[in-house]
Amino acid sequence: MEILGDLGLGLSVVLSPLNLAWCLTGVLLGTLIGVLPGLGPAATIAMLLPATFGLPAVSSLIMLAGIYYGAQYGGSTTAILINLPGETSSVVTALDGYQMARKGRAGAALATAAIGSFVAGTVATAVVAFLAPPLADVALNFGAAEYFALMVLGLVASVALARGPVLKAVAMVVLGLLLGTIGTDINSGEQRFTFDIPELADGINFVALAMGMFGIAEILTNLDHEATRKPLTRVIGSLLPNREECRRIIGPILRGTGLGSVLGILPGGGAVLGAFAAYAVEKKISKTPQAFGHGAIEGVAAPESANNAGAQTSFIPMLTLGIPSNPVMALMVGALTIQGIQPGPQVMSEQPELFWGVIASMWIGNLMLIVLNLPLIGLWVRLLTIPYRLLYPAILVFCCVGVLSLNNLASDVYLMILFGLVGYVLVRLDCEPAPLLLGFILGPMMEEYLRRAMILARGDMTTFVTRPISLALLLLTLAIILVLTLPRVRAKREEAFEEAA
Amino acid sequence: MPGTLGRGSPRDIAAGALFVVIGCAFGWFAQDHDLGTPNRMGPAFFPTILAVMMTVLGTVILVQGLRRPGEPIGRWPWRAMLLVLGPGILFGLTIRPLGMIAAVPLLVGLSALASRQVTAVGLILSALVLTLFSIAVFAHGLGLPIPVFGRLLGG
Repeated sequence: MEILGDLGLGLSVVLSPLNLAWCLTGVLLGTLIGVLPGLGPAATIAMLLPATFGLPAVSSLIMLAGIYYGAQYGGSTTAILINLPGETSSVVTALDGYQMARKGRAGAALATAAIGSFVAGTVATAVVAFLAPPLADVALNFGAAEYFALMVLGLVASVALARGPVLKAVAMVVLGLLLGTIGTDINSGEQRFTFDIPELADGINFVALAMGMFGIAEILTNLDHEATRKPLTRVIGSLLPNREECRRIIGPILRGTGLGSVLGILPGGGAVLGAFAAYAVEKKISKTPQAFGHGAIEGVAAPESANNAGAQTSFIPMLTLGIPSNPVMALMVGALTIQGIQPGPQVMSEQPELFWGVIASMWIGNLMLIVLNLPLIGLWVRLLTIPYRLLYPAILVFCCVGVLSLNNLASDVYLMILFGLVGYVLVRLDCEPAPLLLGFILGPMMEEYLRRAMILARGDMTTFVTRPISLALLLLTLAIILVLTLPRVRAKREEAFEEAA
Repeated sequence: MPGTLGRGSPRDIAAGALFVVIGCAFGWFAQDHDLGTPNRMGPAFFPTILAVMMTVLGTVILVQGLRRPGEPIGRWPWRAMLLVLGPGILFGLTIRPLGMIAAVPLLVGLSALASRQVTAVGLILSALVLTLFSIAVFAHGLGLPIPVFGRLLGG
């Protein structure tokens, strides 16, 4: 049982007092900020990234992971209490969670979300621990062509699962890739698209881009809807689900965990897809489907378990292949790169403490969440009452100071503001920013793998289809594109996202 | 701006046009560099492929937007945009010469005006609290190299 030894190593890393403290800080900060209306996990992580750069790589990743599930959980709290999902994955939770809250069962809904998340977190941690090592072993044999094909697949899949029009999502990926080419070309040393601005020589600062697109642009979007804030539920009710409710949530939690774990591994997956699928499944197999949307506790338990399981298993492609499957993972890859670690299959063998430490911290983090959050619900409710007009100037201060502290360059502040403007304009034109961020992160890697694959094949483009693994990955990509263009699938996909909106 | 073209989708038309402009711009400036060959990709190789893709995608989105109806873009919230983005730029300009003691209250005070529900008490209190918080946490607590008093204020 080598895996037990590895997990033991991971636990010994997490259980060091310092790392425990960082995990706790991450979970607390994540929940705290995630609870604040209008701040999702991506914005929360982008905002707190600079705070983690001073830490050792392991601690920084443990803290970021803690922030991720903290924010995820905080998002569910706002979804249930004020019907304002902080992120896409808790959109489904809001459907029944808010109805439960209106019937005075907010406490039970929150507890169900917490219990479901914990069960899902435990199972998903095990899934990650078992699946990641073999996958990393496979990936170690990948050549440049395979990596390039894999990245194409990842980007296309992320488009398939993004909200909004497919073509625009593809365009956003390409725009992200283009932005990634700005700066010094590592091969020739030539400066591309920098217009002799010295601050651009190292490329666009990825934290400035992420903070602008997710932090600043969201402020403008939220200000658009300022007048339409929904009333807060003040009555929390009993925290514990009653016996009948306990019986009813077991099945949905287990099914949600399973679905979420599987769907989270897919490139482009993560928390969102699992939550939607789990809700749909529960509604389909329920004897009382008409109760869904009117406060069915199954409609809270299943998506909450699924989104937490998916959030966790989405670490698998990031940890083993170095390929982010969603914007949050893209931020993690960025954080690792800034720490001087090239994410990829070699991380497991070269940095076992980091690899297993992060995996073990997932379970510890989830344990902290449930232990902390149930007693702290009263505090979170009070935070929810902070009006947005007091909140967003604080977000601005954090973003400005945070991005400035990276390199001590005022130009990073200007860049962040510029991307805030660009991000807002694009959102107004129905272009989601998430695919852009993935493209931006993967762009430089893709160019390098393409170059290497081409050199190895002496410029022969067919190398991508003559190597079996690369061919399989590209065929899979093609299949996704074909399926996406089928009119029936397109209608269904739009329907699925519509239902949530 | 409801339905400027009668039919057509303003959001798609604008997005498509934007992508075409961006694609052309990258394609244009990529020509400053060597294209190379597939065997030895030059610095312009990858960006040129992408720029072409961007332009084609933009054109398709634009043409589709002309053909099928869509929602209007809606009014731009100029006031909010100016009062959120402007103070951010101002922060970048003032942080070195004046330091946090002036840059933070300027940022908070001006950006707070972007909300239609702003109150004088809320504005002054949050400016005060956030300035004190920034100085205590960012400068003293975390020791970030960001001046409290800028060089014009004797820092």
